[in-house]
Amino acid sequence: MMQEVDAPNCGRENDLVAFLYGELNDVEKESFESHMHTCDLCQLQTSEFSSIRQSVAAWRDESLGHIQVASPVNAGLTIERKTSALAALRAFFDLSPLWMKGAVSFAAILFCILTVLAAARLLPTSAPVATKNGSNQGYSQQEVNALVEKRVQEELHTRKSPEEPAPISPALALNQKTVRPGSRALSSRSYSLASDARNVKARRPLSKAEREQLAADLRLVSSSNERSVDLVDEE
Amino acid sequence: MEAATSDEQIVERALTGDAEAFGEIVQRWERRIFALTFGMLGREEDARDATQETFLAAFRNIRSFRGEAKVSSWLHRIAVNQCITRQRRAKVRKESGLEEEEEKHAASFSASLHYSPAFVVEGRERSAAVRRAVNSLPLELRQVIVMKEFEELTFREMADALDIPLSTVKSRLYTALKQLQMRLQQYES
Repeated sequence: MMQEVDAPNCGRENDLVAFLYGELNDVEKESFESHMHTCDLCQLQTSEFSSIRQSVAAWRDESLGHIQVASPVNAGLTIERKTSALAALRAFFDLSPLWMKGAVSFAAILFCILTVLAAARLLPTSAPVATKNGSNQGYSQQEVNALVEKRVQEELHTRKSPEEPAPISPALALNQKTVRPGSRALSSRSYSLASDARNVKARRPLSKAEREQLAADLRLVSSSNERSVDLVDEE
Repeated sequence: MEAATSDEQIVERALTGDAEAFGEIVQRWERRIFALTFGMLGREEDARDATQETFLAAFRNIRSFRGEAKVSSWLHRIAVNQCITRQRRAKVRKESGLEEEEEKHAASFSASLHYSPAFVVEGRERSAAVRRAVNSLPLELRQVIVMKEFEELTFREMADALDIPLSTVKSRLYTALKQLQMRLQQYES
């Protein structure tokens, strides 16, 4: 039997609706259920309204069932979601054709090789020469310079000591002051460290002819005919 | 544990120039607003458009949101207004004969391919009857049906959204169900 909208009712319509939608607490629910035992109208309407709800739900599910996974506004109002670089790269590879994947892989490998080569060229070649006490800390540039200089001076000293020329005679000492600029001095203390090292390497016992020539250069002999004069007799 | 950010706090962020804040509002409410517009309009395409327009209108008028009402109520009102505007336009189009073709499209949209032809026809007819019955309800009754059946709001949430007493929500829902019952019986007969 269909109930008219304006038909008289029992006055518990709101409870009926709340019962229908499950929004009564336990006490209210028990109270309404006991009422329904005595109210045919409420029993009937509960049954009919439930049927209507099922029809509406069927229409809703039929129409919106496939919508649940899709966002209804994505087409027009785009929401930018942040994705990680790795996820973006993965998505790109998933969507790209095979040839593009190959090209990108080749380009990436080439880029890596070029980067390594560039880094090898740009990196300083004067890497730390040693480590202190096994620690990872290398020598500083100043320390290296000081050590090298010290070592060179020691080397010079050890090489000069056995070959120290004999005390120069007063005449030689006097004549040393007259050495022409640019000529080789025998015992100049003003040589640089590098030139000292070079001279040490080049030093060897002079032959007789060389000694004579040297004496002539230093004007220790009056003329080139005086061949018998030995100014420096080291032997 | 960090408390969940309220809609009102997100709108405040949007008002201070946070570009992503409004996107969060859309994410939170798009499904419910779509359910509302679908229930009000009865067709997916119209519901999509109305949902988009709802959020666009909200974005344009976000500075007019004063915080006196809830964001959900504010969006709900905008969506209902969008639906009313669309229905007025549809009425004009129907009078000009453009609606018939769209009615056919809407009927074919809701058909499922997984049932027998007889079942599909019966279900389609029933769905079409329910859709017509819901669409023929007065606005305030249609609203409560849609909010309950499509948005699945509680009575309290509906009362807050519509800014009406809880008892009024229940009585409107009761009246809406009774009118739906009458209309469906008329269609079936």
